[in-house]
Amino acid sequence: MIQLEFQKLFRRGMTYIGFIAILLFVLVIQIGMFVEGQKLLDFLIKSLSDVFLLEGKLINNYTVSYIILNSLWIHIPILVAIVAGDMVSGEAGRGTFRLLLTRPVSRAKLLTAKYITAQAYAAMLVLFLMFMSMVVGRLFFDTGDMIVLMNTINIFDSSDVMWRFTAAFAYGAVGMWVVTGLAFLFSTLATNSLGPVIGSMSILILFTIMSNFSIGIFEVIKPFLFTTYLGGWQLFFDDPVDWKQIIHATGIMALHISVLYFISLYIFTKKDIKS
Amino acid sequence: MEQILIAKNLRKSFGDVEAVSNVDLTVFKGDIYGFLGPNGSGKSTTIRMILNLITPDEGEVFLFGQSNANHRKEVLRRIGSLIERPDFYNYLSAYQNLELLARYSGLKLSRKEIVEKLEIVDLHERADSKVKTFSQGMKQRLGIAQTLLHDPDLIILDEPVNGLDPQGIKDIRNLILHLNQTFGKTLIVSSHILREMELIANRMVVISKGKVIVEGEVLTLLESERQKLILITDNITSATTLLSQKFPHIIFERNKLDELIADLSAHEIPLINKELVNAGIGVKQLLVRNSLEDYFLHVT
Repeated sequence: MIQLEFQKLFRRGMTYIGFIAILLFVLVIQIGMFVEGQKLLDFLIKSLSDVFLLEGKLINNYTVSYIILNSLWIHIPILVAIVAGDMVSGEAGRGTFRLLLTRPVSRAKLLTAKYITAQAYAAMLVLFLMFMSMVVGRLFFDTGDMIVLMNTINIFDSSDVMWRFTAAFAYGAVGMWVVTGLAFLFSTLATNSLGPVIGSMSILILFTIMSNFSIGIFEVIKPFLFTTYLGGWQLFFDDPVDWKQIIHATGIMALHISVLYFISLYIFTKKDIKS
Repeated sequence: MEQILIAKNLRKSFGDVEAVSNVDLTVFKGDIYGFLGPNGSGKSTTIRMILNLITPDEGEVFLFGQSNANHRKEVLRRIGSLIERPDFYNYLSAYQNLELLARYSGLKLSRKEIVEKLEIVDLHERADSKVKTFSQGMKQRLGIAQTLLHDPDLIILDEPVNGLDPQGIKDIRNLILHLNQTFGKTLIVSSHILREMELIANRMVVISKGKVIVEGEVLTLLESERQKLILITDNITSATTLLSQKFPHIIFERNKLDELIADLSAHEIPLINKELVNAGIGVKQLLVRNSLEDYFLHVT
């Protein structure tokens, strides 16, 4: 059944919007950095240059990939939600649920196949982002040591970078699975795909605000909000890596993914198909 | 006769609105069972409860002797259905749609087998055309083709002639009769177009405001009704006087077209004709109207 869901997904033009958008976004950043990147970096590390002697090309594929990661985690949730939000509501809106659910197919199996397909799509988008930044980026930039400015200045040897990116992208995929789960849940409640996209994005924005404000009541619920952990991929570019925090964050997000699935399953199996 | 479907005391409300109330149905093997009712009468809700798309608040549905709630997959394996509009994946071809739906049913049909289904509905030459290029009538026929994929015993068609032109309606009517007579399928066909039901159904139920008004054999139900006689003679005045004397219990009305109209029992019609002929009054036309439409309007 997962295979059938994939067939349907990839025969639709809408599915490719996410890939095209990532292709364009990344290319724009890469070309921009290729043309003006050194000036930008010089500006950013001006104060460092006064203290440290920096040699070699700091604008390299790793630095640009890090910049891409920073800027695109905002856009990818929208791309993921467009497809995940349509997975169930789209069938309801098009009236094709009547065709599917009057066949000898289990509702639970159908929903699970759709959930897995949506999550696989999110993973594919993240993989494509990784491919664009790490592989296509090599057409524009060389590799080299990587400088990361966070609370501290971390400079990683080029041999110590690749695993950090792989882990960061994998962690990012888990974050996108939560967003996918959220859009999917809204999708089980709606009969058009716009509602789930707006609904999931609204929740994402609301939770992000709550995660970033240090107000008493927000502090209490902050540890339970998935948005608190979405930016956790940056932990892989710290030294030493805080594995305890990463495992905790991944656990909370995995819990969200499971709970969102089970709520979707409950709603869908009990739902009257009226459309 | 084998009972294919038994619905007992079905009830369903949406909020405060009771869509279906205490509906009982029985469909026998080989029936073309007409499901009649005006728009919004609860036909589609009842059909959706039969197919497990909607859960009834009360009541049970038994298909092939099994509860549809407890044996959903088993009973759906023996049913093909087309509910309301024939909605398909428009970006796929007719063949791809059927192949996909067959695989959802757990069937791996060959291209030949799928094209055979399309041939039954005369769409085999358009097998590889995208559904978005199809007319409403073609989609309706494709809808019927998908009901046949797993060779079901029971086919449920909800408003299959909706939105079709006269030729399309005729095609679907012939197809329904063909499926029943050639392939021995039992069919439940819902419609608010009464003329169509009259032409194809052997048994029917009339539903109005969510309640069953009457259920039974179409012919028996029609025969039990009083008939409307429209009589044109060469001497309307003499005919009126004569018939009023001979049949004082019947009210004969003369309309603007100089026709004589009367409501009477079926057995009285030949007697009236005989009296007129014996009196030397020429009978130009003797029309008896007893359509399902009259019946429907009478009972609802």
